[in-house]
Amino acid sequence: MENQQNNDVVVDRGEAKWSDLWLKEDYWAIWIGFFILLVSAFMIFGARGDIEKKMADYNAVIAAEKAKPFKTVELIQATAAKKALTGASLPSVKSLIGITKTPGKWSSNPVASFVTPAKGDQAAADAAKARAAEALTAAKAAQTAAADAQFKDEALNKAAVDAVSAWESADKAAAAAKVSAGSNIFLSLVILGLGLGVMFSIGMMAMGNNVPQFFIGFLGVFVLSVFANFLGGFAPTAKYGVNAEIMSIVLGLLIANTIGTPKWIMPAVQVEYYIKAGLVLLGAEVLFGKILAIGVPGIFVAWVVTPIVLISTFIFGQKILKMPSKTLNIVISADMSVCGTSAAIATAAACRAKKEELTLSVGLSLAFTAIMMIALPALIKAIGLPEVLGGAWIGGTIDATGSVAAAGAFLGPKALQVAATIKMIQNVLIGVTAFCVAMYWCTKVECNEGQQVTAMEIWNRFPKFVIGFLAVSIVCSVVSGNLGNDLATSMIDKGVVSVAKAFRGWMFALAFVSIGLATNFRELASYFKGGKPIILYVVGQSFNLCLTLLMAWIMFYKVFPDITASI
Amino acid sequence: MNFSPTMRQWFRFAAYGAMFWLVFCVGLPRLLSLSESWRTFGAAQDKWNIHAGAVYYTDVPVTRDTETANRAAVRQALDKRLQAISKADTGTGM
Repeated sequence: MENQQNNDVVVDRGEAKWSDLWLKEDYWAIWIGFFILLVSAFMIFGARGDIEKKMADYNAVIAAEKAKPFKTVELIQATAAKKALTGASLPSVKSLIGITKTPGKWSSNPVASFVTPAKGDQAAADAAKARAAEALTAAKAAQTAAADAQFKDEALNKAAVDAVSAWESADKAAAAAKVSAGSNIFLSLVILGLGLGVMFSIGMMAMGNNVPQFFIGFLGVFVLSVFANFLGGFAPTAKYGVNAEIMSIVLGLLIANTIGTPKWIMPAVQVEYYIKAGLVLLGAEVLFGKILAIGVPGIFVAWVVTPIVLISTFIFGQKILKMPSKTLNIVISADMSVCGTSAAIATAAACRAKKEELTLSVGLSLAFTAIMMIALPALIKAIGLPEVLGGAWIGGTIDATGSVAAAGAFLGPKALQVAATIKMIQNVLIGVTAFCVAMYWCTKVECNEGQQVTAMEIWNRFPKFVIGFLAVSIVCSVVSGNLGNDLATSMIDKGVVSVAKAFRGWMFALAFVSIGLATNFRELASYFKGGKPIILYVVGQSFNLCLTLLMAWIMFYKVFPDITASI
Repeated sequence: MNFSPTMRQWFRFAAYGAMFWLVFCVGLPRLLSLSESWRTFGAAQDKWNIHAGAVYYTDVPVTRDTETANRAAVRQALDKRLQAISKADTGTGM
């Protein structure tokens, strides 16, 4: 019975013992996350000296060339080489990321999701390459002529600018004409499935579960995740925000509520295990340095409005709506006010919400996001709000990160720039949100009224994976801050984070397939009773819309108009 | 015709699956494609390589560029403000 209860919630709990380190899935989630991150860090930081040296060389070239009156070939080449100098492009890391590739986007031909056909014509590629080489020689000659005149001859400078521009176009054309061999992801999917299966099986073995049964079931869950990723890549539905996570739930629900979840799969339906491991990996992406990206106005819009909306919505749900479930209330509040699915997952795990509550929350968010990502830009255009204000409004209110960028792009490049950055700053809040919710649940919700909770009790109740999640976030943030902008971008943002996000995506897909496989439609429908979740979402979002618009206007147009003018 | 319970379950699975596909993956996109706004919206996503269902900012490649651009804008604004302050100080003989 207790086991059944533990299976229904996103996090289990118990009294803390040393043996928990190898017996509890919270810790195994941390070990799995740490293992993946350490392997990637080892690969990337092993090449640090080489990356640092190359970066210094490129920076020296860029600094010297920037002093010239026009963009030179060397400046363009060094800038491109610097951009391509990433941890993810190291051969070992590239192979690791290659194994985690998900089925790609497709529209009319399903095979295209798994197979990339060979493209290009060797003769055309050679001709384009020759034209680029010719244009490069001409550009360098024109540059030399301009330099010989000490860049004082306007006609020579103009000729050099034209020649460099012609070379850039020829180079782009040569890159586009390049011949590429066809590839498919079938072998990498097999390796990934077996690899993840072995990794999770080690934990299951230590926790005293039947490993062969788990492993066989895991392969079933993995195949369903692959199929869900394939469905999530269907371009027409992806346009309105349907992703692999949603398709995973739908697929799982469809199986569980029609033919029934096969018995052999059940041992691998381990929602919490996959979610927690995915969240620990997500910690690497929660980089606190990001909050400074758009200065004080961004911090006010994302970090002041969001907690106010979250807390107000939760209080409204408890005091006015009298929501029957506190956990459902906080998951919907966080999902709506912070950043959609990722916030819902982190909060649900932190407060031990039920699987159905997480499903309902993610479903609500998808439905309202699909409406808002079209309605909000249309409204902004109709009332003629400036792009920066519109972008800030979109970034602070639409739930899903991808939809925010899409809605911003719909308005224009400035709106996209502000919207995506505000959302990124808000994304970083999920670490703080998960920690605060876990603390609040330990100290206030899961104890009797007036009861004093000791530090030991808090420790016993606290979901330990949150510590792993925060530890990873803090370590990555500190390392990123100490590396300096260039190295941090190259080794953390485009290195460790690239590996973490690839594995995190798979773990969330495994978790959502498992949620679907273990959810009963009738139970799910019972949570909609009285329409309270919808009322909670609508009221909270309306408040969010008003407060965000007001704060964005004050910050971007009254207090910091100079930042707005520079965007 | 008499079908076994297992067969009926499989029929239900196929029927619900087909219904979901027809409504959400065929009908809805076709309906939405009739709208000019949706077409523009889809084109914007294609242009910037955005997946509207991306879960986290790291799943949206364009965020890296927007972050860099915003940091540059903030630096530029701060420089301008500092310059204005130092000009004002010089003007008042401070």
